Amino acid sequence: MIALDGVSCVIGGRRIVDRVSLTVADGEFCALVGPSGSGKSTTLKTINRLVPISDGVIRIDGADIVAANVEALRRSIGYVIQSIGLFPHWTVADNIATVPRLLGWPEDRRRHRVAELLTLLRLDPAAAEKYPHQLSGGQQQRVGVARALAADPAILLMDEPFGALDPITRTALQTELAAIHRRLGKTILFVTHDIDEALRLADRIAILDAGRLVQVGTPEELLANPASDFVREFVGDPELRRLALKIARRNAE
Amino acid sequence: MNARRNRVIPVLIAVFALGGVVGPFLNQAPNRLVSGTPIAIWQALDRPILFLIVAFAGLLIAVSRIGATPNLHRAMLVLATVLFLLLLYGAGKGATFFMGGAALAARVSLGWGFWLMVLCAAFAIVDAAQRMNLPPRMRLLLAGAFLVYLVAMAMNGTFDQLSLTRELAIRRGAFLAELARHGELVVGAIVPALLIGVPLGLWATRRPRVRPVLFGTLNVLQTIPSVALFGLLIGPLSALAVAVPAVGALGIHGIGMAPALVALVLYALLPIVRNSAAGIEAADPAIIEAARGMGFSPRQILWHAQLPLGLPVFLAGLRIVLVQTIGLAVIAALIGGGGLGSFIFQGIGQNAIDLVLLGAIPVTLLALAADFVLQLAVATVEQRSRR
Amino acid sequence: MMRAMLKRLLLALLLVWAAPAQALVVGSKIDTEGALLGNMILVLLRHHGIAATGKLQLGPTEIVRRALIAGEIDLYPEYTGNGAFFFHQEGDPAWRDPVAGYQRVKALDRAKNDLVWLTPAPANNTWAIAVRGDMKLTTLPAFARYVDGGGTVRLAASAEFVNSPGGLPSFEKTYGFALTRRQLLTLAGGNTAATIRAAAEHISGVNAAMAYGTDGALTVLGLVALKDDKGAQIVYRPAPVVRGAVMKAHPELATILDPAFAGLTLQRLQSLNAKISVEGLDARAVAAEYLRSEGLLAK
Repeated sequence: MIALDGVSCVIGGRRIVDRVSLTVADGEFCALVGPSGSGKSTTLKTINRLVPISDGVIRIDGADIVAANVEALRRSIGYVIQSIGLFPHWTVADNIATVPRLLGWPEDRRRHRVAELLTLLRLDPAAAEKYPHQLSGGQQQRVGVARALAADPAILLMDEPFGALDPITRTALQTELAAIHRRLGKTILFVTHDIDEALRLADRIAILDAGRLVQVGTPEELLANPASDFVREFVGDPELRRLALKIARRNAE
Repeated sequence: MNARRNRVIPVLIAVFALGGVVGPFLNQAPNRLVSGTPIAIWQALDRPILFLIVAFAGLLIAVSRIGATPNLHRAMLVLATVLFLLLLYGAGKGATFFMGGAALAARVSLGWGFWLMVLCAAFAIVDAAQRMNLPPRMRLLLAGAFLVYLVAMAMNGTFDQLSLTRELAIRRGAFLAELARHGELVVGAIVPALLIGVPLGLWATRRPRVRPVLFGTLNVLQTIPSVALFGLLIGPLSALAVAVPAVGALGIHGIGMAPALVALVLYALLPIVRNSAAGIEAADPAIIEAARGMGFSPRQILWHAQLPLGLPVFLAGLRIVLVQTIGLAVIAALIGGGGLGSFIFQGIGQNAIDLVLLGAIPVTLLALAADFVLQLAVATVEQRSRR
Repeated sequence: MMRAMLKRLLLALLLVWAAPAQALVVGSKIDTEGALLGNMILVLLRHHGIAATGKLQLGPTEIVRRALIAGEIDLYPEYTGNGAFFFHQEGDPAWRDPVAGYQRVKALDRAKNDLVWLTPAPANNTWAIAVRGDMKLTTLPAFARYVDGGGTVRLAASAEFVNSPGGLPSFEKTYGFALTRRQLLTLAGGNTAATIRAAAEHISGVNAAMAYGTDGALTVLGLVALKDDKGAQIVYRPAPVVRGAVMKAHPELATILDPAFAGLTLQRLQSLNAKISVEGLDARAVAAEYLRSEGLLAK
């Protein structure tokens, strides 16, 4: 369980994250949504301490994250970013096995895990020996997700992971991510500016505006009872959205 | 495929022909000092060799006009290489012929016609090789084969009667000693420059505020003319050697290798520092962010990501530094530091061009070899890092 | 472990540096005559069983002299006349006398720098004007008469020779002639090989050349160096200069080197230089052959 309690980030005199309190239960898929500059990425990065907090406490399973060794913390959390960031001079297999290697897993276990993940992310096993530049954008991000899952972390932090992909690939990856979530039951914190993506994937959605948490709730709650005009405008036409949601849900089964 | 017209080869062959027709291929003089009488290429070479040269030159133009397929480029490479070797062989044989029966003091030297033709052939080789886009190992192999052939010709005595070779034969011991000394100067400068420069470059990436001061200072150093810097160092180092006898005992005086090395190190610093910093910063920020987020420590990020990805940039800088230092080390001879520059300055003083060439040609070849080797290194490393 | 290794390395380095200190270091200037004289000294010393290494062709005068004073070399062949410049007495007439000049520099260097000048050679390697053989002139008075009488002359010389009061102006003043601008071909550097070749090949109408007294190319190319009987030029006689400490350790240096230098007349030095610069023979071989012919390498 991730618990943010009154978390604030002041960077360069500006309050990027403003007293955000949020709880994410185990196995929950929580989407952080908001317009650009709403502080959603920054909020995400406070959890793996890429961004230091100025105020408040963050606890994972009851333990204050500041107390733990920062690298150990990060190795126990999967991290996926929009620009993917694979090591171009390593093979796909080496990239996926990055954290296991850091943790000192033996080679057999690593190889086995890589094969597992390639299957899970529906990548051709032959891709293991390829280099990132030989893959398409969508395939590279699959590798990115596989890399994040490699050490079997309980938590996955995803920062607009599909934002740079074309719509078709994006949809396919969204579907697969939803399937993976159902299967593996990881706690996922997912940042996006695309409300449709959030509605499709998330169990709960947290809407941020100018660093402040405006509303938290299930997709239905948000559509039925928007807490403010801002939310209402951001979510858009509820009928349309509900329809899209229904179709998406049906396709996923 | 669109066959791009090769404009380079026809121009090269035109200049080549000009050199052959107008310029003296060889020069014969009764002694080392006096100007010689020019010998045209048709007087210097046997009919068969002359015919072969003309034929191959013509073929080269013809092939270059046909098109631009890989096979044609391969043919051009072969033709140009054979042309080059034929010229060298012909010059050597011509010299042997004209020296037959002449007095011991007589000299047959290479004329500007020869140099022009050989340069054109060399450019043609480079042009063909570049169009072929060979992988690094292939390039190394071809260069090796070429060298083997040249050495074989030399050992066979083909070049023995050329004045340049005679000059070398007279002072072979001194030549080898100065060659070794030149190597010592280059290595003795590059190693300390790396030891000082690489950490400085790394430091500059960690402390952005330091950069303007650091690069500014190095820039100023770089613009001081080399001879001036060498001269400027004589005074302080002499004074140091006098004031601190231990320094003098170690062999560091105002003249000789010490000031030469200090100057060479200072000149090597700017490219090394700059390229170390650039190398570290060459890695895509996304990679660094992903690495941090995954739990790499800063040192691990340096070791696993920044260094391997920065290596091509760094090596490109090292290539420049190496070539620069090999050339600059020539000046060391002016202040008693030795090296191949001694022959150049002796030759200038005695008005003996062959002596100048005895120094200048090896320096050029060394620089070319260093450039070639590092180009290969960069290409090999880049292949691995897939940028 | 590291520290022990470093200590050992340092010791080894010190030994390496200390060892050659036993051998005498012979230096020389970067020109042809420097190669000849330096090799001559080296061969002689070794023949007499003195360990010697060479740092020949080190550089121009300033560099080699600094090296001697700094102790980086132990001895080298220098010219007596250079004393005028070392001690800033260029105008003093003593330097134009072959004996007085030598005595002066010997005394001054011993007193001020603890350097010992051994017996110099009779040859005078000073600035000279050389003319083509077909002009049938052998002395400067004759040349002066020829020029004043309207004879065709063009002198190739360096800018320094033309402008320095110790150079051409000194000749003109002493022998009473004057060359117009049109009768001069001024080159940038002090390269007598270029000036001599210009006169020998009659390039641009040049028939006279600035030369040094012992230039080897003169006789070979058919040029004659005009005799300077009135002493317009500083006298430069080659002689070995040795560090005082080295001289104390090896007093026999004088007896070893004196006869070699004594045999170097102007003509002899010219022909030896010619073998190296014109015929292109190895300087050490030429030096050794000279010593042998003088009987100095006999067992």
